[in-house]
Amino acid sequence: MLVCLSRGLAVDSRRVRLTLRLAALVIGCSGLVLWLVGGLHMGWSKSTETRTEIDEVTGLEYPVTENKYVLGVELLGATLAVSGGLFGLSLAFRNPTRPDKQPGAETSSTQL
Amino acid sequence: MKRLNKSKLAWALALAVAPGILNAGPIKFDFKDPKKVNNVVFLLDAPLESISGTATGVSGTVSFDPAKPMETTGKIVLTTSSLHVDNPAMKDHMHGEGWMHVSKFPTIEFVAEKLTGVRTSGTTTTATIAGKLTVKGVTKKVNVPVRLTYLKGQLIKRNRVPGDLLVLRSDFTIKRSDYGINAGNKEEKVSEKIELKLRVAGAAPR
Repeated sequence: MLVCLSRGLAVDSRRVRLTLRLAALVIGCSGLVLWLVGGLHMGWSKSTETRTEIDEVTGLEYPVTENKYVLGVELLGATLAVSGGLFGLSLAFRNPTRPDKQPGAETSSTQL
Repeated sequence: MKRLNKSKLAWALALAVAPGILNAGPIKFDFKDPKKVNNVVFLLDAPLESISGTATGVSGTVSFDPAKPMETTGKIVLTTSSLHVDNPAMKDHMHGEGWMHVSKFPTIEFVAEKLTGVRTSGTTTTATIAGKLTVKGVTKKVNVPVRLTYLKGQLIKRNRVPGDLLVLRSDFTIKRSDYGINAGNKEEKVSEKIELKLRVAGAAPR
C-alpha cells in the first residue's frame, strides 16, 4: 500500500511538473514571439502606432495614428518572469524517493 | 466713336478691378483642419525616459499680408484632448488632473502679437513672433521663431476651392514649471523642458 501511494504521488508530481514546465514554455515563447512580431519594440507597450506622412501641397509632416497593439519591454519582462517562476515552481515537484530505494530499505529487507 | 468706346471700356475695367487692388491687404487664414494635417509634436527627453507625442486638434486664424508680413497677427488654439501618446496608460496620466488636466483646461492658446526680425525670400518669411502662450490657465509672454510660407493660389490643390495657403512652422521649447505642469515632480522620467514642433497650414478661400 505504501508503495502504491508513493507511486501515485510520483505520477502526480510528474504531471504537475510537466504541466508547469509546459505552461512556462508557452507563456515565455508567446511573449517572445509577440515581441518579435511587434518589431523588437524597446519602449512601453502601445495600443496605437504613429507614423509620419508628408502633405504633398504644403510639404508639412503630419502624424497618422492607427490602432495596433505592440508589446513593450515591460510586458515581455512580465511574461518571462512568470515563465521563469513557473519553471522554478516545477522544480519543487520532484519524484518522491521510493521506499525501496531509501538508504535503510535494503538493510531492513535483508534483515527480514 | 471707336476711340471713345475703348476709353469707356478701359475705365469700366479699371473701376471693376480697383476695389480688389485697394482692398489688397491682410488675408485671413483659417487653421481649422478636418484632415488633421495640422499638428503639434511634443518631445520630453528626460534622463530615464523619452516621451514623444502628437496633437492634431488645431484651430485658429492668422491675418497675414504678403506685402507686410511684419504685421502678421493671429491666434492658434490647440485642443488638449487631442494630445496623444501611443501608450494608453501614459495618455490617461497625461490627460489626468496631475498633468494636463484636460477637463479643466480644454485648450492651449498662442496669440501672435508682433513679428520682429522679418526676412522674406521668395514665398518664405522667417521671423520671431512675440506673443502670449496660455497653458493650463497660465499665460506667459514668449518669443518664438517662425517660418511662414505663403502659397498663393494653392488651396485648390488641397481643398478643391480657389484660394491661398499659409504654412507656419515653428520649433520652440517651454518649461513645465512655467505653466504648472506637475512642476518639480518626476523630472527623471518626465523632462522639465518640452520641445514643441508646430506644423500648421491655414486656408484662405477666395
